[in-house]
Amino acid sequence: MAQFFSPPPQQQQGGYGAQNGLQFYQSQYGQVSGHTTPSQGGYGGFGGMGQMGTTPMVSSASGVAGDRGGLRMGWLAAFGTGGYDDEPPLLEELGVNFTHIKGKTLAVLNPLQTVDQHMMDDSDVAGPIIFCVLFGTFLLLSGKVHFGYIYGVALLGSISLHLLFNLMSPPTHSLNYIRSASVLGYCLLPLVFSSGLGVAYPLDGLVGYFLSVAAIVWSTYAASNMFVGVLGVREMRWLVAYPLALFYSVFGIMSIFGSKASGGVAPKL
Amino acid sequence: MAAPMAFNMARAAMGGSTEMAEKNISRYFSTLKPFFAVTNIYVIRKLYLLVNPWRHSPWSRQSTTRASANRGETETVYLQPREDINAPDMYIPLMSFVTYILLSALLYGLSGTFHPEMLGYTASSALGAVMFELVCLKLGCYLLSIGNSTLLDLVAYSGYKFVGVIFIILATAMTGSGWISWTVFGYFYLAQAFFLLRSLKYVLLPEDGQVEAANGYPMAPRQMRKRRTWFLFGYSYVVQFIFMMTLTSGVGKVKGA
Repeated sequence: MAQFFSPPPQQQQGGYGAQNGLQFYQSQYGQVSGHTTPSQGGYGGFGGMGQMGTTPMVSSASGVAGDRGGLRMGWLAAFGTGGYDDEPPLLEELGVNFTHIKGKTLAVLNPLQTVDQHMMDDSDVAGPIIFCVLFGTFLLLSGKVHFGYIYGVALLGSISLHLLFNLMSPPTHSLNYIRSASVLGYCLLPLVFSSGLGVAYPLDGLVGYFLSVAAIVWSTYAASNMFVGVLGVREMRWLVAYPLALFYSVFGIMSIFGSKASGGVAPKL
Repeated sequence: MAAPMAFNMARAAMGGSTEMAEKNISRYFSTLKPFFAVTNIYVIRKLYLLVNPWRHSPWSRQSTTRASANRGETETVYLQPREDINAPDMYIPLMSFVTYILLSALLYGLSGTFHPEMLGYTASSALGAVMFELVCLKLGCYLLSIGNSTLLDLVAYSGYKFVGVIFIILATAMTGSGWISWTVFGYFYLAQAFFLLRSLKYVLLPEDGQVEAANGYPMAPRQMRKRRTWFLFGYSYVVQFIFMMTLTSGVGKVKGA
C-alpha cells in the first residue's frame, strides 16, 4: 500500500520540465511546440501527464506498473489523463486541434485574404458550439434569454442550408453536413462580437442597427467565400450569399430586438 | 445463444430500411436538382419578369434532344433554368417564401415587442397555406390526369406569388392600409395571374393526342382541353386571389393597431 503512495509525481516533476510540450501532438496534426501560445502551454500540463504513460518508467513503481501496460498508479495519477503506453494524448484523441481552430477563426476575422480551400477539410463543431453558447451568453447578459431559440434556429437553419447547397451544387462537388455546419458556425463570430457590444450599449438604436447590419454583412461575406470556394460555383455567388444573409439576419434580429422575454405576443392572424 | 442471431437479424432489418430510405431520398434529390440549377443572371431576369410580365414574348420552354438511357434512342428534355428563362425553378419560390416569413416576423417585431416565437407562428401559418395549396393542386392534377412531374412544375409556378406578396407587405408596412397598398396588391395580383396564365398554357393544355381521364377511359381531347382551361382560369384568378389575401391580411396591419 505504501508503495502506491510513495509519490511518483514528485519524482517526475523534473521530468515535466524536460518533456513539457515537446511532443504534444504526435500523428496527424503535426508537431506543435508548447511555447507558442499560452493556451497550449497551459495544456502542456495535461500533455505532460499524458506523457506519464509513455515515458519510460521510473524505477520505484516500475515493477507494479510495468505489467499494466504503463498505466500509472496512485491517487494523483487517477485524477490525471495518463493512460497506457500506446495511447495518444487526450486532446489529440478528442480531435480538438487548437492550431486549426485558431487558423479558421482568423480566416473568418480577416475575410479580405484568400481562403485556403482545404482549410475546412478538418471540420470540427467544437468551435461553432462554443460560438453559439457565447452568443447566447452575451444575449443573456443583455437581458434576452433565448438559448433555446438560438439552438433551434441554428440547427434548423444549418440543416436547410446544407440541403439547399447540396441541391444547388454541381455534381462534381459535394458537402457533408458536418462540414457545412462547421463553416456556418465559424462565420457566426462577427455576430458574437456585435452581441458582445450589445451587453454594454443597447443595440436598439440607429448605431446598433448599423453595427448589426455590418456584422451580418461580414459574416455573410466570409461564409459565402468559403462555400463558393468549396463548391466551386462562382456564377451562383449571390445566390449562395442570399440564404446565408437570411440565416445570419435571424441571429441579428434576435440580438437587436426581444428584451424582456416574458410570454409571447400572439399575432392577430 | 439466440441473442447474437437476433442481433444480426435486427441489424439486417435496420440496414434494409435505411437502404430503402436512402434510395428514396436520392431519387427525390435527383428529381429536384434540375430545379436548382440557376445562375445569378437567370434570377435577376426572372424577378424582372415576375414584376413586369406584360411584354414578354415567347413563353414556351425550350427543349433539346439528348441521348436517353436506352441505347440508340434520343429523348427530348426541357432545358434547365440556367439556359432558358421560361423554365420554372424552385430557388426563387423557396427564397421568397423564407424572406416572407422573416419579413413578416420582423414587421411584427417592429410594431411591438419581438419574441422569437413569432418566427414559429408565421412560419407555421405560411407553411400551412402552402401545404393547402399543394393539396388542392394535387387534387386538381388527379382529376385532370396530369402527371407527377408536372405537379412539381406547378408547385414551382405557384411559389412565385411570394415575390409579389413580399412587395405587398412592404408597401402595407410603409404606407398603412390605404389605397396605395390596395393598388400594389391589385398590380401584383394581376401580374401573377397573367404570368400563370401564359406559362401554364403550355404545361397544362395539350395540343394533340388523346389523354386519359381519371377513371381510365380515354377522353376526347377537346373536352379535356376545356376542362383544363377552366382549371387554369380558376386557378390563376380565384385561387391566387384567396391565397394572396390570406397571406397579406395579418401582416402590416398590426402597425396601426
